[in-house]
Amino acid sequence: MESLSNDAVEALKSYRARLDSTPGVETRTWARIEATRGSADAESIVSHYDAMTRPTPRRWPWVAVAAAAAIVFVGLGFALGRGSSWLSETESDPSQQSIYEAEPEQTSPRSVTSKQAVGSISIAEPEPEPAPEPAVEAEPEPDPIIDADAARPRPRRRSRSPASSASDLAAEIDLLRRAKQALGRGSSAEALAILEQHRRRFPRGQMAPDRHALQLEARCHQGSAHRAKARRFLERHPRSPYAARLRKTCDLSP
Amino acid sequence: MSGHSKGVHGNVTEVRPAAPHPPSLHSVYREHRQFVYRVTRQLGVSPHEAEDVVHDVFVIVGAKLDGYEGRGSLRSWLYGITRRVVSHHHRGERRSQRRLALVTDDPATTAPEPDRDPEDAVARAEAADLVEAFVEHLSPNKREIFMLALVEGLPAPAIAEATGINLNTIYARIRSVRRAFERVVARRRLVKEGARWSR
Repeated sequence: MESLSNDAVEALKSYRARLDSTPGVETRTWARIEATRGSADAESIVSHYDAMTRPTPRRWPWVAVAAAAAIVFVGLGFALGRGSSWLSETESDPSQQSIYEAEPEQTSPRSVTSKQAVGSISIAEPEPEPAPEPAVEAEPEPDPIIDADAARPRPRRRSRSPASSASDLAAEIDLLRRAKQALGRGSSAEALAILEQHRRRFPRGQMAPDRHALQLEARCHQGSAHRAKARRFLERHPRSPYAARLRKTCDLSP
Repeated sequence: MSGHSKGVHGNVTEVRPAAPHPPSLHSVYREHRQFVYRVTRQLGVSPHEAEDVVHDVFVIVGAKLDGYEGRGSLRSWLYGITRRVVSHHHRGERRSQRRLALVTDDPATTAPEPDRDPEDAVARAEAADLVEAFVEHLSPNKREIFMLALVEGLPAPAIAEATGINLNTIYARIRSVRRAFERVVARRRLVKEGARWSR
């Protein structure tokens, strides 16, 4: 598994440090532990814990088996009852009997089976259970893109190895960084060209929402009428890190 | 992920006591107190209550240590105990919250060490905020994986052992949560760079 980026490692370190207890707490807690050990309090804590971990008696499987057996028994009884009555009916009704004998091929094995199982069909043939959830979780979908990207046919997603995913992300970041640098220099056309490059290479890339925000920003720089799109983007992504910049560049009120 | 992650978890060590000589409670406490405290906090216990939970966890560990066979990782075992104690704690949370309302913040339990470099302190606080916000948006399943794999650096087999989840599912979840986290971090980096350029 690939290693985390330095920024990610630093962020995790800061987070861990925030969660750590202080030396004062550690000393105080240890003193309390020592004082509690062997006391009635400790016994109470441990017995509570043991009660939590004690396995509960497995009653439900037996109840379920008993219920299923009862239903099957009733179902079989019902089927046999119907079967015997049906037989007696056909025996006593010569017209029905002749039909049965004259066209034996019509009573296909399937139809006979369904007749026999009529009383117990719900037990013998339960509804197929929905397929279990796949063990591998789906990668989170990128945010929806508002502009023409959404309307374009999307290429089929290929399963990618973690390494290719990491290198793709690095490539995406590099492109977006270059686009930002171009925007910073005031070169909106260049930024848009780079962003178009990003769109072609990573139509559903991990940084697609970022690309879209930068596209809108570049177009607003050019004076194009993209304020409505920018407004829609802000409605969909009110907490986007680009929100303030976009409002400013596209001259939108907060 | 066959071993312990390095970097942020450079100090992670797994104690696997041999059956005849289990480690002393004090050594387990010294080695793993921060792990238990952090896990407790990440399972949603406030700093004040976390102290009580850690106390109970180590009292239980002290009682069970002699019978601990050391077949798995000690952290997996500690995590199992902590999770149960926290779960029990949450059941009585309402009662505790009433009590908490009467307790004032104790600076000794919450205030971090003062930072020497204020800019550095701000950067670290921002980074920690970012992780906190990220964790808030994770599903409980992924939050647990994020906590154990990325924050605490437990290897996937130990996580599978601690949670009872299939190892392949653990690997898949770790990959998924890492990717999502890297994306958030990369986005923040871009935004920061953008802020610098637009100055």
